[in-house]
Amino acid sequence: MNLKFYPSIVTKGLVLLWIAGLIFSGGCYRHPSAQSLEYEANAVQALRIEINSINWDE
Amino acid sequence: MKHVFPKLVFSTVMVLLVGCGRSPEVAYKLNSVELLKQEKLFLDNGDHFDDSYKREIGSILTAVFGTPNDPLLPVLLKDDDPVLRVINSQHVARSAGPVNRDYTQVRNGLYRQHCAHCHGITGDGHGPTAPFLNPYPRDFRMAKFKYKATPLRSVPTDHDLTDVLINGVPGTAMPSFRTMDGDQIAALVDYVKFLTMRGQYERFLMAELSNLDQGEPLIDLALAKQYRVMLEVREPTQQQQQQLGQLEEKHLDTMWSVVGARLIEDVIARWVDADKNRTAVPSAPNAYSRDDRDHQDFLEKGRRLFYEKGNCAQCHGDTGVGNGQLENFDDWTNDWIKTPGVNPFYPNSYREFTDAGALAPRPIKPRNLTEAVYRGGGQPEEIYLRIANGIEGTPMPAAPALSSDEIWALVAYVKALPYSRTYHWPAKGVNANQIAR
Repeated sequence: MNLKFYPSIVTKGLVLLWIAGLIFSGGCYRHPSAQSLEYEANAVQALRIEINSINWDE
Repeated sequence: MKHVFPKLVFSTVMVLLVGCGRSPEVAYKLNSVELLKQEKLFLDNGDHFDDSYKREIGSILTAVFGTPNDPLLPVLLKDDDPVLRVINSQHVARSAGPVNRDYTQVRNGLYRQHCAHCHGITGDGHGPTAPFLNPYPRDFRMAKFKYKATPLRSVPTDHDLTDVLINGVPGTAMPSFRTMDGDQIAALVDYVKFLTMRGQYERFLMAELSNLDQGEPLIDLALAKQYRVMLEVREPTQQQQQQLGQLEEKHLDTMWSVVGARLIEDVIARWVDADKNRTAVPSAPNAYSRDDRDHQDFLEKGRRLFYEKGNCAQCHGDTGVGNGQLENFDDWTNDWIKTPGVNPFYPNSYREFTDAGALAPRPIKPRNLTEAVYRGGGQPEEIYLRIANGIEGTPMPAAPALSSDEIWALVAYVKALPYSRTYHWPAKGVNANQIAR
C-alpha cells in the first residue's frame, strides 16, 4: 500500500502555523499571575540578623 | 527542496520539545490580588503602592519563611517555640523541595509532585490546572478550611487535614491520597500548614501598607543599622545613651508590630492546641436508627426543621436539590469582589483582578442533598459537625440555636433525602399526616 503523503503548500503552511501557535501559546506562555516574589538577598540577610538578634521571649 | 518540509517540521518539533528557554527557578508568588485590593481600598483612584514594597514584602517573607527549595520555619522564640509544636521542620523540607529520592530512597518533593499543579507552589490555589477545575482548588493563604471538626474561625486539626488527604473531597477534583504512607501524609499536612501561615502573614504585611506613608518602609533597615552601630559604642555619652534608648524603642516597636506580634500571636498561636477546639459529637438518639419505632417521627422532625427552624430550604431549596440561593460567593472570592467598583457578574469590572491572578468568580452552589455526594464526608458524625459548626468560608452558617437532638434529626432527614421517593414526602410542607408510613 502506498502511504506517501504529499501535502499541498496550503497544508504545509497550516501545519507550520499550527506548530508556531503551539509554541507561542503554550511553550512561552506565562500566566499574568506568575509574578514571582522579588527579594533582595542583602535585605534578607539583614532581616534575618535583626530577627534572630531580638529576644522575642521578653 | 524535496525534503525541506519534513525537515522543517522535525526541527520545529525539536524546538517545541526543548522549549523557549530555561525554566525559571521555582519561586513563591506575590499575592498580587491582595496588593491590588489594598490599593483600591486605600489609595486614590488608580494609584499604586510604591514598587519597593513588593521587594520589601518579598524580602521579609523570604527572611522568615525561606524559598520553595529552601523553606524555613519562622522560629522566633528560643524556648518552646510554638511553631515547633505545630510543624515538623523535616516534614516541611521533605514536602517543599524538588521531586527526588534521597540516598535512603525516601521520596522528597511531595507537594510539588502531588499538589502544586492544582494548589500552586505558593498554596494560592492557582496552579496551572486551577482555571479548568470546578470548584477551584483551595487557596490556603486565607487560613480557612471547610471540612473540619473545629468551629468557624478556628484552624483545623491535623486529623481534619489528614482526613481530607486520605479521603479526598468527593464531587471535586481533589483525589484521595490513601495509597501514600502515614509519614508522607503527615509531611504534606505540615507543609499545608506552613503555606497557610506564610500566606496569612503575607496578607497581614500587605494590610500594614495602608498605615504607612508612601515610601516609608515596613522595617527600616537603616534605622536598625544605626541602632547596631550605637550598640557598639564603648562608654557612650549621656546624649548617645539617650539616642540609643530612642532608637531601641523605635526599632523594637517596629519589629514587634511587623514581625513578632503578627507571626507569633496572629498566625502561629492559632494552630497551637487546635485539637482542644474540636467540637464533641454526642451519640445519636435511638430514634436515629431506622429500626427504631420512632424513626419516622424523628425524620418528620428533621423535615420540619429543614423548612422552619433550621431554614435549610432557603439555600438548599424546597426539595433539597441546592437551587435555593444561587448568587452567593465563597469567602475566597468575596475577599476581593467586595472591592468598590467590582461586580462579579460583569467581567470588565474585575479584569484588573484576573490580570493580577484572581480566578474568575463563580457563585458557590448550595449542595444538592439528593445526590448523596458529600464533600466533607458522608458519615453521620461528619454531617452533624457541618450542621452544628457551619462550613468555613461559605454561606453555610453554624446552628447554635439547634439542640443536639434537633441536629441529629436533621442529619437523619438529610441522609434520607436521596431516597425521598421511598418516603413520599410532599414537595413542601410540614404536615406529618401527609407522609405515607
